[in-house]
Amino acid sequence: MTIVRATFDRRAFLAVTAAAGSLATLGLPARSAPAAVGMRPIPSSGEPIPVVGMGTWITFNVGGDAELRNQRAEVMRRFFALGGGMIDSSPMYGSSEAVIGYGLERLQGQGVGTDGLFSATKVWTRMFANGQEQMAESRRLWGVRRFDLMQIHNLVDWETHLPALKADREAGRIRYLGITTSHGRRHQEFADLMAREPLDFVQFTYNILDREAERRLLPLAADRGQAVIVNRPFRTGGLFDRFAGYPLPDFAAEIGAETWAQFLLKFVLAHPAVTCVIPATRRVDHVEENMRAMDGPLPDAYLRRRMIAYVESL
Amino acid sequence: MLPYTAEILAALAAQLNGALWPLHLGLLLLTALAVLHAWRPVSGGDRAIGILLACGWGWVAWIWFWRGMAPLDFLAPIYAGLFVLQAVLLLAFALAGRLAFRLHEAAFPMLGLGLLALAAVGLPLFGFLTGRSLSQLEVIWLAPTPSAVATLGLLFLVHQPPRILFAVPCAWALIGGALAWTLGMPAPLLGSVALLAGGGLAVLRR
Repeated sequence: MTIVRATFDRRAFLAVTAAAGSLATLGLPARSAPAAVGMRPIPSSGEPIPVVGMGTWITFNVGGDAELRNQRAEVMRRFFALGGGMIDSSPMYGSSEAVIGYGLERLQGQGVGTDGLFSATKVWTRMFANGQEQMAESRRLWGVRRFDLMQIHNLVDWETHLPALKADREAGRIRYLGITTSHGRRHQEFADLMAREPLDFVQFTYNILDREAERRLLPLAADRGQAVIVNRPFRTGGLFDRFAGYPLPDFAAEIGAETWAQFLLKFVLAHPAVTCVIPATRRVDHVEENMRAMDGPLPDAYLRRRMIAYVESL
Repeated sequence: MLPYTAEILAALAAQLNGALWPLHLGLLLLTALAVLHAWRPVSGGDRAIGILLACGWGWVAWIWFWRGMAPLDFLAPIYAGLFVLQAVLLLAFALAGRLAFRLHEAAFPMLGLGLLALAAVGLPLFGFLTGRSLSQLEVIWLAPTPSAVATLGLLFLVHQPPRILFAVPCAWALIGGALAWTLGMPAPLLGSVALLAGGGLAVLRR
C-alpha cells in the first residue's frame, strides 16, 4: 500500500502553491515546501485529499484566551504549510470551532493561503437544539460559506439529520456527508447505516491497539466505496504515555518512522481502506512530526503484524 | 473524557482574575465580616450574610460556569443550575430567618474556621505550590470549589444549620472531585475531599 503522490487537480495544486507561499512568508526557502502531499481519493468523487488531517478534540478548545488562540493559529499555519487539508471539528468540542475560525481569519489576514482547507464538522444536537441552526452557527464560527463535509456526530439523532444532510448535499449546501463514532460505540448500528445509506465518509476509531474496526467497519467501507477518517490514532495521547519509555523497534527504520507518532500513523495509513487520519495536537512541532508520516514507505501486511507484536509485547 | 485540559481551566482562571481584580479583596473582606458577625452578631447580619452567600453562589454560576465554562463544556449549564439551586436554597433560608451565624453556639466552629481558611488561603496556596501561577489561582467567590468549601465553613458557624444546605456542596464535591481527578488538578481535588469530609460530618451528625 502506498500513498498516491503528486496527484494534481485544482484543489491539490492550490494547496501546494498555498503551502509554498506560506513558507515564503515564514522566510523559509521555497524548495523546503513539499512537492506534493500524500493524497488519497475520496471514493465517491475521486477528489484527492491529504492523508494526514487534523482533529481538534480538546486541543482547540481554548476558549477566549488570546495567547492560546494565537498558538493554535500557528499550528494551523504549519499544518497548511506542510500541505495539510482536512480539519475536523464538532459543536460538541466547546470553543474549537470558534478557534478554528479565528485561526483561519488570522492566517488569511496575514496573506497565508488556506485554500487547501477541507472543512469537516459535525451536527450534534441535544435536547431541543435545531440541526439547521447549529450548522449555520458552525459556518459562522468557521467563517466558511459551506462545509466540505458534514457528519452526524456519534449517530446522535441520525434519523432526523440524515435526510436533511442528503437534501443539503443535493442542493450543494454541503459537498459530502458522513457519520461518526468513537471509542467503538454503537458499531452495529453504525455498520447497518454504512451498509444501506449513500454515505461519502465514515469516521471511527482505529489505532494499533484498538483494531476492532478491522473486522467489519473497514472492509465494509471499502466494499461500499466510503472514505474512512480515522480518529484517535494515538488514543488521545494515551499510546504515547504507554510507549514513552520504550524505543522504536529497529524495523521502524524500514518505513522511515523516526518517532512513535510516525510509527503509529503509518500503521493506520497502511490499511488500504483508510483515506485520512486526523491526529489532534496543540503544538507546531507535533504537526511537523505528524505530517512527516506521509513521507517514505508504509508497512506491508507482514510488517504491520510485526508492529502489532512489538507494541503488544511492551 | 473531558473536552478541555487543566491548562484551559488555568487560562480561564487567569482571564477572570485579570478582569475582576481587585474585586477579590472586597469578596475576602465580606467573608471576613461574616466571620466577625458570627463572633459578635449584629442586628440584621444573619439575613445579610445569607443573602450575600446566595448571591455568591449565583455569581459563581454566572461568572464561572455560564460565562467561562459554557463555551468549553456543554455540561457547564447543568453545573450552573446546581449552583443556582444552592443560591435559591440559601436565599430561602436566609429570608426565613433560619440562618443564625453564631460562633459560640455552632457545633463545629473550629472546623468551620478551618474550612474558611482552607478555602481562602490553603487552596490557592496549594494551587500555587503545585504549578499554578499567581494569576491562575482559583479563589473563593470566583471558582466553584473554593466557594463551596467557604460556604461549608460558614454553615459550620451556623447554629443548627439546615441539612439540605449541605446537599449541593456535597454533590459538587463529587462532580468537581471527578473533574479534578481526571484533569490532574491537586488543589480542587483537595477542596473536594474537604467538602466531602465536612459535608459527610454535617449530614451524619445527629
